[in-house]
Amino acid sequence: MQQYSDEQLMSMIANKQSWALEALYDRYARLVYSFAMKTNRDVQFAKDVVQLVFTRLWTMEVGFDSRRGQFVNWLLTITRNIAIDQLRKLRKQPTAVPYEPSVWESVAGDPLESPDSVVSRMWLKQQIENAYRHLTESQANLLQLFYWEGFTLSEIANRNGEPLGTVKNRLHQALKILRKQLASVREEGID
Amino acid sequence: MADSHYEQLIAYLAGELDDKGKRTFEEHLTACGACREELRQLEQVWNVLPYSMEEEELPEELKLEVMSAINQVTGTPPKAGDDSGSETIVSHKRSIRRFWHTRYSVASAAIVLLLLSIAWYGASQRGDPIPAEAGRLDVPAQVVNTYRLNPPDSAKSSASGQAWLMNKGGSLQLVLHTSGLSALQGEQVYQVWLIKDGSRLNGGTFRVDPSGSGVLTYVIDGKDRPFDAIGITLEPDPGGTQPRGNKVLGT
Repeated sequence: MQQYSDEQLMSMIANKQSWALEALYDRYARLVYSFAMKTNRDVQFAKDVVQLVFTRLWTMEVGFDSRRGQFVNWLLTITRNIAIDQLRKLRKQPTAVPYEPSVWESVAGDPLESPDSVVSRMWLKQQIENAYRHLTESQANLLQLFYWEGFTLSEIANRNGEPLGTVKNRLHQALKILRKQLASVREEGID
Repeated sequence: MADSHYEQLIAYLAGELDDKGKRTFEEHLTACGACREELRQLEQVWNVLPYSMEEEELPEELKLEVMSAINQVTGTPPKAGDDSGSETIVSHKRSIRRFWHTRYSVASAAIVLLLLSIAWYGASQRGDPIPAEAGRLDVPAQVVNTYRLNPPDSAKSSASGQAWLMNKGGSLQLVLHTSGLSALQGEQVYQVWLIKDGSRLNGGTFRVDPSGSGVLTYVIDGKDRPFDAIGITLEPDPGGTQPRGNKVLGT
Protein backbone atom coordinates (compact mmCIF):
# COMPACT_ATOMS: atom_id res chain seq x y z
CA MET A 1 0.00 0.00 0.00
CA GLN A 2 1.45 3.35 -1.00
CA GLN A 3 2.40 5.63 1.85
CA TYR A 4 0.23 8.68 1.36
CA SER A 5 0.77 11.57 3.73
CA ASP A 6 -2.08 12.62 5.99
CA GLU A 7 -2.46 15.78 3.93
CA GLN A 8 -2.75 13.78 0.71
CA LEU A 9 -5.39 11.53 2.22
CA MET A 10 -7.30 14.55 3.46
CA SER A 11 -7.37 16.16 0.04
CA MET A 12 -8.56 12.89 -1.49
CA ILE A 13 -11.25 12.80 1.17
CA ALA A 14 -12.27 16.30 0.10
CA ASN A 15 -12.64 14.76 -3.37
CA LYS A 16 -14.90 12.10 -1.91
CA GLN A 17 -12.52 9.16 -2.28
CA SER A 18 -13.86 6.94 0.43
CA TRP A 19 -10.89 4.58 0.45
CA ALA A 20 -8.82 7.54 1.71
CA LEU A 21 -11.18 7.92 4.67
CA GLU A 22 -10.66 4.24 5.39
CA ALA A 23 -6.91 4.71 5.27
CA LEU A 24 -7.10 7.54 7.79
CA TYR A 25 -9.36 5.41 9.95
CA ASP A 26 -6.78 2.61 9.94
CA ARG A 27 -4.13 5.11 10.89
CA TYR A 28 -5.83 7.10 13.62
CA ALA A 29 -9.06 5.55 14.87
CA ARG A 30 -7.31 3.87 17.76
CA LEU A 31 -5.89 7.16 19.04
CA VAL A 32 -9.25 8.87 18.68
CA TYR A 33 -11.00 6.01 20.48
CA SER A 34 -8.44 5.89 23.28
CA PHE A 35 -8.64 9.64 23.79
CA ALA A 36 -12.42 9.45 24.03
CA MET A 37 -12.17 6.58 26.52
CA LYS A 38 -9.97 8.69 28.75
CA THR A 39 -12.49 11.51 28.85
CA ASN A 40 -15.34 9.15 29.74
CA ARG A 41 -14.85 5.49 30.44
CA ASP A 42 -17.75 4.31 28.34
CA VAL A 43 -17.37 2.16 25.23
CA GLN A 44 -20.51 3.41 23.48
CA PHE A 45 -19.55 7.01 24.18
CA ALA A 46 -16.10 6.45 22.70
CA LYS A 47 -17.56 4.71 19.63
CA ASP A 48 -19.91 7.67 19.10
CA VAL A 49 -16.97 10.07 19.29
CA VAL A 50 -15.03 8.07 16.69
CA GLN A 51 -18.04 8.18 14.39
CA LEU A 52 -18.52 11.90 14.88
CA VAL A 53 -14.85 12.63 14.27
CA PHE A 54 -14.63 10.62 11.05
CA THR A 55 -17.97 11.96 9.81
CA ARG A 56 -16.55 15.40 10.41
CA LEU A 57 -13.42 14.58 8.40
CA TRP A 58 -15.56 13.23 5.57
CA THR A 59 -17.80 16.27 5.40
CA MET A 60 -15.04 18.86 5.46
CA GLU A 61 -14.95 20.65 2.16
CA VAL A 62 -11.27 21.43 2.11
CA GLY A 63 -8.24 19.28 2.73
CA PHE A 64 -5.85 19.76 5.61
CA ASP A 65 -3.53 22.75 5.37
CA SER A 66 -0.14 22.00 6.92
CA ARG A 67 0.05 25.59 8.15
CA ARG A 68 -2.33 24.38 10.82
CA GLY A 69 0.49 22.33 12.28
CA GLN A 70 0.82 18.59 12.42
CA PHE A 71 -2.21 16.62 11.38
CA VAL A 72 -2.32 14.37 14.43
CA ASN A 73 -2.35 17.35 16.80
CA TRP A 74 -5.18 18.93 14.86
CA LEU A 75 -7.06 15.63 14.78
CA LEU A 76 -6.73 15.17 18.54
CA THR A 77 -7.89 18.75 19.12
CA ILE A 78 -11.00 18.05 17.04
CA THR A 79 -11.45 14.79 18.95
CA ARG A 80 -11.19 16.61 22.27
CA ASN A 81 -13.65 19.28 21.17
CA ILE A 82 -16.16 16.68 20.02
CA ALA A 83 -15.69 14.50 23.11
CA ILE A 84 -16.15 17.45 25.44
CA ASP A 85 -19.20 18.61 23.53
CA GLN A 86 -20.72 15.15 24.00
CA LEU A 87 -19.78 15.06 27.67
CA ARG A 88 -21.31 18.45 28.29
CA LYS A 89 -24.50 17.34 26.57
CA LEU A 90 -24.62 14.35 28.90
CA ARG A 91 -24.21 16.67 31.87
CA LYS A 92 -26.78 19.04 30.39
CA GLN A 93 -24.32 21.90 30.24
CA PRO A 94 -24.23 24.50 27.46
CA THR A 95 -21.73 24.13 24.61
CA ALA A 96 -18.35 25.49 25.52
CA VAL A 97 -15.76 24.60 22.91
CA PRO A 98 -15.99 25.13 19.14
CA TYR A 99 -15.15 22.15 16.89
CA GLU A 100 -12.59 23.86 14.74
CA PRO A 101 -9.38 25.13 16.26
CA SER A 102 -8.34 28.44 14.72
CA VAL A 103 -5.10 28.63 12.78
CA TRP A 104 -3.08 30.14 15.60
CA GLU A 105 -4.05 27.38 17.95
CA SER A 106 -2.02 24.83 16.06
CA VAL A 107 1.45 26.16 15.57
CA ALA A 108 3.86 23.65 14.06
CA GLY A 109 5.50 21.96 17.00
CA ASP A 110 8.60 19.88 17.39
CA PRO A 111 8.76 16.19 16.44
CA LEU A 112 8.54 15.08 20.05
CA GLU A 113 4.88 15.93 19.98
CA SER A 114 3.64 13.48 17.41
CA PRO A 115 5.02 10.05 18.15
CA ASP A 116 4.09 7.73 15.35
CA SER A 117 4.80 4.41 16.94
CA VAL A 118 3.37 2.64 19.92
CA VAL A 119 6.80 2.47 21.47
CA SER A 120 7.46 6.20 21.23
CA ARG A 121 3.97 6.90 22.55
CA MET A 122 4.57 4.67 25.55
CA TRP A 123 7.82 6.45 26.20
CA LEU A 124 6.10 9.81 25.93
CA LYS A 125 3.37 8.65 28.30
CA GLN A 126 6.04 7.75 30.82
CA GLN A 127 7.63 11.18 30.47
CA ILE A 128 4.30 12.89 31.00
CA GLU A 129 3.58 10.79 34.09
CA ASN A 130 6.99 11.74 35.48
CA ALA A 131 6.35 15.39 34.74
CA TYR A 132 2.96 15.21 36.47
CA ARG A 133 4.67 14.27 39.72
CA HIS A 134 5.94 17.84 39.90
CA LEU A 135 2.44 19.26 39.99
CA THR A 136 0.52 20.04 43.15
CA GLU A 137 -2.69 18.15 43.73
CA SER A 138 -4.82 21.15 42.88
CA GLN A 139 -2.85 21.70 39.65
CA ALA A 140 -3.26 18.08 38.60
CA ASN A 141 -6.92 18.17 39.52
CA LEU A 142 -7.42 21.31 37.48
CA LEU A 143 -5.92 19.68 34.40
CA GLN A 144 -8.17 16.68 34.87
CA LEU A 145 -11.32 18.78 35.19
CA PHE A 146 -10.39 21.23 32.50
CA TYR A 147 -8.54 19.24 29.87
CA TRP A 148 -10.10 15.81 30.25
CA GLU A 149 -13.57 16.51 31.58
CA GLY A 150 -14.34 19.67 29.67
CA PHE A 151 -15.39 21.99 32.46
CA THR A 152 -14.79 25.64 31.67
CA LEU A 153 -12.45 27.69 33.82
CA SER A 154 -15.44 29.70 35.09
CA GLU A 155 -17.30 26.56 36.09
CA ILE A 156 -14.25 25.30 37.94
CA ALA A 157 -13.77 28.64 39.68
CA ASN A 158 -17.41 28.64 40.80
CA ARG A 159 -17.17 25.09 42.02
CA ASN A 160 -14.09 25.90 44.10
CA GLY A 161 -15.42 29.25 45.27
CA GLU A 162 -12.35 30.98 43.81
CA PRO A 163 -11.80 33.97 41.53
CA LEU A 164 -11.50 33.09 37.83
CA GLY A 165 -8.08 34.77 37.70
CA THR A 166 -6.74 32.39 40.34
CA VAL A 167 -7.83 29.39 38.31
CA LYS A 168 -6.31 30.78 35.12
CA ASN A 169 -3.08 31.41 36.94
CA ARG A 170 -3.03 27.88 38.33
CA LEU A 171 -3.51 26.46 34.84
CA HIS A 172 -0.72 28.61 33.52
CA GLN A 173 1.59 27.44 36.31
CA ALA A 174 0.69 23.82 35.72
CA LEU A 175 1.47 24.06 32.01
CA LYS A 176 4.75 25.86 32.70
CA ILE A 177 5.86 23.18 35.14
CA LEU A 178 5.04 20.40 32.70
CA ARG A 179 6.82 22.23 29.93
CA LYS A 180 9.92 22.65 32.08
CA GLN A 181 9.97 18.97 32.98
CA LEU A 182 9.45 17.79 29.42
CA ALA A 183 12.02 20.24 28.06
CA SER A 184 14.66 19.01 30.47
CA VAL A 185 14.00 15.47 29.25
CA ARG A 186 14.75 16.60 25.70
CA GLU A 187 17.87 18.44 26.80
CA GLU A 188 19.25 15.24 28.27
CA GLY A 189 19.61 14.18 24.67
CA ILE A 190 17.05 11.43 24.56
CA ASP A 191 16.13 10.97 20.90
CA MET B 1 4.53 40.34 29.62
CA ALA B 2 1.53 41.97 31.27
CA ASP B 3 -0.59 39.80 33.58
CA SER B 4 -3.69 40.42 31.52
CA HIS B 5 -1.91 38.82 28.60
CA TYR B 6 -1.21 35.64 30.56
CA GLU B 7 -4.89 35.34 31.30
CA GLN B 8 -5.89 35.97 27.72
CA LEU B 9 -3.29 33.55 26.48
CA ILE B 10 -4.73 30.78 28.60
CA ALA B 11 -8.27 31.66 27.66
CA TYR B 12 -7.23 31.65 24.01
CA LEU B 13 -5.48 28.30 24.29
CA ALA B 14 -8.50 26.88 26.05
CA GLY B 15 -10.82 28.13 23.31
CA GLU B 16 -12.72 30.19 25.86
CA LEU B 17 -12.57 33.54 24.12
CA ASP B 18 -15.56 34.59 22.07
CA ASP B 19 -15.08 35.54 18.41
CA LYS B 20 -14.41 39.17 19.19
CA GLY B 21 -11.96 38.32 21.97
CA LYS B 22 -10.21 35.86 19.67
CA ARG B 23 -9.78 38.42 16.92
CA THR B 24 -8.51 41.02 19.35
CA PHE B 25 -5.99 38.60 20.80
CA GLU B 26 -4.87 37.42 17.37
CA GLU B 27 -4.27 41.02 16.37
CA HIS B 28 -2.16 41.38 19.48
CA LEU B 29 -0.22 38.26 18.56
CA THR B 30 0.79 39.66 15.20
CA ALA B 31 2.49 42.52 17.06
CA CYS B 32 3.86 40.81 20.15
CA GLY B 33 6.78 38.39 19.84
CA ALA B 34 6.83 37.60 23.56
CA CYS B 35 3.23 36.45 23.53
CA ARG B 36 3.75 34.43 20.36
CA GLU B 37 6.67 32.63 21.92
CA GLU B 38 4.78 31.98 25.15
CA LEU B 39 1.83 30.67 23.16
CA ARG B 40 4.09 28.43 21.12
CA GLN B 41 5.59 26.91 24.25
CA LEU B 42 2.25 26.39 25.92
CA GLU B 43 0.91 24.78 22.80
CA GLN B 44 3.77 22.30 22.83
CA VAL B 45 2.63 21.10 26.22
CA TRP B 46 -1.02 21.25 25.20
CA ASN B 47 -0.30 19.00 22.21
CA VAL B 48 1.47 16.47 24.39
CA LEU B 49 -1.25 16.15 27.05
CA PRO B 50 -3.30 13.61 25.05
CA TYR B 51 -0.52 11.05 25.27
CA SER B 52 -1.12 10.37 28.92
CA MET B 53 -4.02 8.27 27.61
CA GLU B 54 -4.01 4.49 27.73
CA GLU B 55 -4.09 2.95 24.29
CA GLU B 56 -7.26 0.91 24.07
CA GLU B 57 -8.09 -1.90 21.68
CA LEU B 58 -10.44 -0.72 18.96
CA PRO B 59 -13.67 -2.71 18.86
CA GLU B 60 -13.54 -4.65 15.58
CA GLU B 61 -17.07 -3.94 14.50
CA LEU B 62 -16.55 -0.20 14.84
CA LYS B 63 -15.05 0.37 11.40
CA LEU B 64 -18.06 -1.05 9.60
CA GLU B 65 -20.43 0.81 11.91
CA VAL B 66 -18.66 4.10 11.25
CA MET B 67 -18.43 3.68 7.47
CA SER B 68 -22.05 2.54 7.21
CA ALA B 69 -23.27 5.42 9.33
CA ILE B 70 -21.35 7.88 7.21
CA ASN B 71 -22.89 6.32 4.11
CA GLN B 72 -26.37 6.78 5.52
CA VAL B 73 -25.71 10.40 6.36
CA THR B 74 -23.88 11.38 3.19
CA GLY B 75 -24.44 8.79 0.47
CA THR B 76 -20.87 7.48 0.41
CA PRO B 77 -20.43 3.84 -0.56
CA PRO B 78 -19.18 2.06 2.56
CA LYS B 79 -16.03 0.07 2.13
CA ALA B 80 -15.28 -1.85 5.28
CA GLY B 81 -15.19 -5.42 6.45
CA ASP B 82 -14.02 -8.59 4.72
CA ASP B 83 -13.52 -9.24 1.03
CA SER B 84 -15.78 -12.26 0.49
CA GLY B 85 -17.23 -12.50 -3.02
CA SER B 86 -20.91 -12.55 -3.90
CA GLU B 87 -22.87 -13.31 -7.03
CA THR B 88 -26.11 -11.52 -6.34
CA ILE B 89 -26.90 -7.87 -6.80
CA VAL B 90 -28.58 -6.74 -3.63
CA SER B 91 -29.12 -3.12 -2.86
CA HIS B 92 -28.84 -3.65 0.89
CA LYS B 93 -25.96 -1.54 2.07
CA ARG B 94 -24.16 -4.30 3.93
CA SER B 95 -23.89 -6.28 0.70
CA ILE B 96 -22.41 -3.44 -1.27
CA ARG B 97 -19.00 -4.10 0.22
CA ARG B 98 -19.00 -7.58 -1.33
CA PHE B 99 -19.36 -6.01 -4.76
CA TRP B 100 -15.90 -4.66 -4.82
CA HIS B 101 -14.43 -8.01 -5.72
CA THR B 102 -17.18 -9.57 -7.78
CA ARG B 103 -16.33 -10.17 -11.41
CA TYR B 104 -18.76 -9.94 -14.27
CA SER B 105 -18.00 -10.89 -17.82
CA VAL B 106 -17.52 -8.06 -20.25
CA ALA B 107 -20.64 -9.14 -22.14
CA SER B 108 -22.92 -8.87 -19.16
CA ALA B 109 -21.33 -5.53 -18.32
CA ALA B 110 -22.23 -4.29 -21.76
CA ILE B 111 -25.81 -5.50 -21.33
CA VAL B 112 -26.17 -3.82 -17.97
CA LEU B 113 -24.73 -0.62 -19.37
CA LEU B 114 -26.97 -0.80 -22.41
CA LEU B 115 -30.05 -1.19 -20.24
CA LEU B 116 -29.01 1.64 -18.01
CA SER B 117 -28.11 3.92 -20.87
CA ILE B 118 -31.43 3.19 -22.57
CA ALA B 119 -33.28 4.01 -19.39
CA TRP B 120 -31.34 7.12 -19.02
CA TYR B 121 -31.28 8.24 -22.64
CA GLY B 122 -35.05 8.00 -22.33
CA ALA B 123 -35.02 10.07 -19.19
CA SER B 124 -32.73 12.66 -20.66
CA GLN B 125 -35.06 13.03 -23.59
CA ARG B 126 -37.79 13.88 -21.17
CA GLY B 127 -35.54 16.63 -19.97
CA ASP B 128 -34.98 15.11 -16.53
CA PRO B 129 -32.04 16.61 -14.68
CA ILE B 130 -30.02 13.41 -14.71
CA PRO B 131 -26.52 14.86 -14.24
CA ALA B 132 -27.68 16.77 -11.19
CA GLU B 133 -28.15 13.47 -9.34
CA ALA B 134 -24.42 13.02 -9.46
CA GLY B 135 -23.93 15.79 -6.93
CA ARG B 136 -26.66 15.00 -4.44
CA LEU B 137 -25.61 13.76 -1.03
CA ASP B 138 -28.83 11.98 -0.14
CA VAL B 139 -28.80 9.69 -3.19
CA PRO B 140 -26.84 6.54 -2.46
CA ALA B 141 -24.30 5.51 -5.06
CA GLN B 142 -24.33 1.87 -6.04
CA VAL B 143 -21.60 -0.17 -7.68
CA VAL B 144 -22.89 -1.58 -10.96
CA ASN B 145 -19.67 -3.20 -12.07
CA THR B 146 -16.03 -3.56 -11.14
CA TYR B 147 -13.16 -3.84 -13.60
CA ARG B 148 -9.59 -4.94 -13.02
CA LEU B 149 -6.99 -3.05 -15.07
CA ASN B 150 -3.81 -4.88 -16.11
CA PRO B 151 -0.68 -3.94 -18.05
CA PRO B 152 -0.31 -5.33 -21.60
CA ASP B 153 2.83 -7.15 -20.51
CA SER B 154 2.81 -7.97 -16.83
CA ALA B 155 6.38 -9.18 -16.99
CA LYS B 156 7.50 -5.64 -17.76
CA SER B 157 5.17 -3.60 -15.61
CA SER B 158 3.88 -3.84 -12.08
CA ALA B 159 1.18 -1.28 -12.69
CA SER B 160 -2.40 -2.19 -11.85
CA GLY B 161 -5.74 -0.56 -11.38
CA GLN B 162 -9.39 -0.91 -10.69
CA ALA B 163 -12.40 0.83 -12.06
CA TRP B 164 -15.88 0.99 -10.63
CA LEU B 165 -18.97 1.85 -12.57
CA MET B 166 -21.27 3.65 -10.16
CA ASN B 167 -24.94 4.36 -10.57
CA LYS B 168 -26.05 7.31 -8.55
CA GLY B 169 -29.73 8.03 -9.04
CA GLY B 170 -29.53 7.19 -12.74
CA SER B 171 -26.31 9.13 -13.28
CA LEU B 172 -23.44 6.86 -14.28
CA GLN B 173 -19.92 7.56 -13.15
CA LEU B 174 -16.73 5.67 -13.75
CA VAL B 175 -14.24 5.86 -10.89
CA LEU B 176 -10.69 4.67 -11.58
CA HIS B 177 -7.80 4.06 -9.28
CA THR B 178 -4.36 3.09 -10.56
CA SER B 179 -1.09 2.28 -8.88
CA GLY B 180 2.46 1.56 -9.95
CA LEU B 181 2.42 3.73 -13.05
CA SER B 182 5.69 5.44 -13.96
CA ALA B 183 6.25 9.05 -13.09
CA LEU B 184 5.35 11.61 -15.73
CA GLN B 185 7.56 14.25 -17.28
CA GLY B 186 6.70 17.66 -18.60
CA GLU B 187 3.24 17.80 -20.09
CA GLN B 188 2.68 14.05 -20.11
CA VAL B 189 -0.59 12.65 -18.81
CA TYR B 190 -2.31 9.31 -18.59
CA GLN B 191 -5.50 9.21 -20.62
CA VAL B 192 -8.53 6.99 -20.17
CA TRP B 193 -10.37 5.59 -23.20
CA LEU B 194 -13.81 4.01 -23.27
CA ILE B 195 -13.68 1.47 -26.07
CA LYS B 196 -16.64 0.16 -28.08
CA ASP B 197 -16.33 -1.81 -31.29
CA GLY B 198 -12.81 -0.55 -31.80
CA SER B 199 -13.68 3.12 -31.41
CA ARG B 200 -12.25 5.06 -28.53
CA LEU B 201 -13.96 7.80 -26.55
CA ASN B 202 -11.89 10.16 -24.42
CA GLY B 203 -12.63 9.44 -20.76
CA GLY B 204 -10.40 12.11 -19.31
CA THR B 205 -6.80 12.52 -18.23
CA PHE B 206 -4.96 12.29 -14.92
CA ARG B 207 -1.52 12.53 -13.42
CA VAL B 208 0.04 10.29 -10.82
CA ASP B 209 1.59 11.12 -7.48
CA PRO B 210 5.24 10.29 -6.68
CA SER B 211 4.27 6.74 -5.76
CA GLY B 212 2.59 6.12 -9.11
CA SER B 213 -1.02 6.33 -7.95
CA GLY B 214 -3.72 8.08 -9.85
CA VAL B 215 -7.44 8.62 -9.42
CA LEU B 216 -10.07 9.73 -11.90
CA THR B 217 -13.83 10.08 -11.90
CA TYR B 218 -15.61 10.32 -15.22
CA VAL B 219 -19.28 11.25 -15.34
CA ILE B 220 -20.92 9.50 -18.27
CA ASP B 221 -23.36 11.97 -19.75
CA GLY B 222 -26.22 11.70 -22.21
CA LYS B 223 -24.08 12.00 -25.32
CA ASP B 224 -21.85 9.04 -24.46
CA ARG B 225 -22.53 5.45 -25.42
CA PRO B 226 -21.85 2.15 -23.62
CA PHE B 227 -18.34 0.77 -23.69
CA ASP B 228 -17.09 -2.77 -23.60
CA ALA B 229 -13.49 -2.13 -22.56
CA ILE B 230 -11.37 0.50 -20.85
CA GLY B 231 -7.82 1.42 -21.87
CA ILE B 232 -5.28 3.80 -20.38
CA THR B 233 -2.45 5.22 -22.48
CA LEU B 234 0.56 7.42 -21.78
CA GLU B 235 0.08 10.63 -23.74
CA PRO B 236 2.52 13.45 -24.45
CA ASP B 237 0.02 16.11 -23.34
CA PRO B 238 -3.63 16.40 -22.26
CA GLY B 239 -4.90 17.73 -25.59
CA GLY B 240 -5.47 14.49 -27.54
CA THR B 241 -8.83 13.18 -28.78
CA GLN B 242 -7.42 9.89 -30.02
CA PRO B 243 -4.65 7.79 -28.48
CA ARG B 244 -1.18 8.84 -29.55
CA GLY B 245 0.87 6.95 -26.99
CA ASN B 246 1.22 3.39 -25.76
CA LYS B 247 -1.28 1.48 -23.67
CA VAL B 248 -0.23 1.04 -20.06
CA LEU B 249 -3.33 -0.53 -18.52
CA GLY B 250 -6.56 -2.03 -19.74
CA THR B 251 -9.44 -4.40 -19.02
